[in-house]
Amino acid sequence: MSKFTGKKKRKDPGISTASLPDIVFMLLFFFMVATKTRENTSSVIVSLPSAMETGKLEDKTPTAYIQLGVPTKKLQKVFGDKTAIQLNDAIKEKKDIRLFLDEKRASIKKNFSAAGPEVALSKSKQMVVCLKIDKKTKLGVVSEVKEELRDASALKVNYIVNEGK
Amino acid sequence: MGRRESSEVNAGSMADIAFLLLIFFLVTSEMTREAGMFQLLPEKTEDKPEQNKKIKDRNVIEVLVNNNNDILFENEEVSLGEIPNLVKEMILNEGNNDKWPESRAVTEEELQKLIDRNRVDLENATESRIRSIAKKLRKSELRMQALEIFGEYFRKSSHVINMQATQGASYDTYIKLKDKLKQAYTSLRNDLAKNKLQGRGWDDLTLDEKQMLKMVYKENISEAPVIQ
Repeated sequence: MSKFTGKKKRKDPGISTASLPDIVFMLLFFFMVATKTRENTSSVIVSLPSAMETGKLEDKTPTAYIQLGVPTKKLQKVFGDKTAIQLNDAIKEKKDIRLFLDEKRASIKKNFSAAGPEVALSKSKQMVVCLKIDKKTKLGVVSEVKEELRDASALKVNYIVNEGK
Repeated sequence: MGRRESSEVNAGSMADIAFLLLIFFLVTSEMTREAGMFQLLPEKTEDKPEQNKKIKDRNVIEVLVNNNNDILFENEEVSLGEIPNLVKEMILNEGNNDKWPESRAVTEEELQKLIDRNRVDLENATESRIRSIAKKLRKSELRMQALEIFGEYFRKSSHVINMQATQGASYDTYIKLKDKLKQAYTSLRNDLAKNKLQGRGWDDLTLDEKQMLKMVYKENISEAPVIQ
């Protein structure tokens, strides 16, 4: 009988935290899979226009980003406060666009080289140039960039906008 | 010497490490894919622009943004809100106005011809081209299907919307205008879906149905270089 009458004081068991790492890892993997890393830092200030009739590119579409806007405060001393062109991380000239696109195409080709030369070539032809252009930019500048793209025969253009009114 | 029990590795800090990684990825990544408006630029050719003259005047819908960000639709100043309806009217051209873009009914014979031609091509195709030709054939067949469903609504319109701008116009207005032009097409397609596809909204349509609607009202917006 003493089995049941023993007055052992129960200790509060506490919540086991052993599975906490598992949960956090699960979250971690989710975010690693569901997101993509930010492409580059901004040297120009871009406030996008908004539009309703938008579409989204397919996930695996190869892209190249060109940004147009006024340089950030820090960089204005060097580049002035006129609309500037940003390729990769740095502010560049209009004439550099072609070289930039060629480099992008080459790197796309390299990425797909394992799938054979034909696939690589067609992938590099599928490249879409995403234009992030500040609202206040004058169309003269935009048009010059577009002409440059035509010269480089990068004809697929995607104007990045905010969705909504 | 007493035998020591092998002590387990303390896994308590594992969570901390994982949290650190998690936060790192949260900060350096972006979740949403960016929304954008797609545009195919015209290829650069050696030919003079006179070549474009082939398009008849009545088929070109001129839209212009000037330096004051006013919008001129066929040389008349209009507000942004009016654009979709104006464009819709002109594309449909129900009264057969001879100053507005031409449109004619698509016939079964021409589509059948197209399909036959695609089939012949497919038989003679080389290995590398087979997929692209099969795709073309699929599209032609879809066109035929569209004709069966939409009947007289399936017309071939020869319109081109020519978006122009002057150098000092703002990009914001330009995008807003483009948005409105696209809205015209969307609304045309929605109207047709309402009429002929049991009143379903765009999101309830199948991929094929969406593609068919896009065939019936094909977007044709061209962006001209700026005017000096």
